[in-house]
Amino acid sequence: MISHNKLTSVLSKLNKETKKNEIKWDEPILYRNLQLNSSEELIGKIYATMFNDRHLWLFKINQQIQTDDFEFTWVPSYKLIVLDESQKIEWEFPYHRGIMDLYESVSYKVANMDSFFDSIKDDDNEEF
Amino acid sequence: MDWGDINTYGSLASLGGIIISFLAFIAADKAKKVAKQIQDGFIFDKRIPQHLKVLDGLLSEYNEFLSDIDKNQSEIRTLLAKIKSELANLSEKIKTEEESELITSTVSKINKKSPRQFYKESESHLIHLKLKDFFKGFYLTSHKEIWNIYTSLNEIHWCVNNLKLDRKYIIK
Repeated sequence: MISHNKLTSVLSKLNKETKKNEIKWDEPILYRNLQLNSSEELIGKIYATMFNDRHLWLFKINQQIQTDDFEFTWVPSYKLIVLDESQKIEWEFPYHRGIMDLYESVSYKVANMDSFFDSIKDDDNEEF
Repeated sequence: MDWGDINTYGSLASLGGIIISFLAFIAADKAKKVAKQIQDGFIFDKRIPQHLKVLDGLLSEYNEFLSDIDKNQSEIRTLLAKIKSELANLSEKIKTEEESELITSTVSKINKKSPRQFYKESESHLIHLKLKDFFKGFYLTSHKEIWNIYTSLNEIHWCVNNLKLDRKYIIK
């Protein structure tokens, strides 16, 4: 079992290297082997990378939570999983808020939002 | 019954009184401690989820600022001041040794590092650049240290969240 400080450090490292463009994430073309529970549904994109020779996938899901005897609600959650060569899940990172931060960093980078904001700023400067 | 017997009974009765008073004092002290534990538990259950929510929001902001540490220096400093006051409130409700120590060490790290100017360490392996970074470390705060504070804060969030979950499990 992974220790909690090791888990936090690994997630921070992934986040840091993503922000520094040292880890590149992309969207996998096929993800037929991604199996979710019946109480989970995928929302948004799946992001994939290779880190220390391991395939990592990161995605956001809606998870059904029982709040009362007959009441359910959907709560967003984030998952980071390790896959083998045939895209089968080998290990799933336990819940950690660092996965949410990583997802925010990755989606920002993949959408290339830095250049988007820079282009808007440049346009404004030209007007003045 | 003579005066001698009455004296003996009187002495025994006063001794019994002292013992009963002492036992009552111990019981009252124990009851006070249990009441304090219940009160602390109630405050923990009520306030910890709120603290975690606030800390979660502040950490998301921190994560955004980490995209460009130099540009967001003043924002990071302001945010760290907010996080510090949140941690001060949180630490009052945490009674476990490991988590309290983690909060204390993180707060002292923030106190020491956040007022200083931030600098980006050189990525080169040249010795004179490494030496330069080493000396800068005495009066400036490196990007690595800003990331270390972020990691420690995530660690605190994880630990306190686990305390909350454990407590929920115990109560059930």
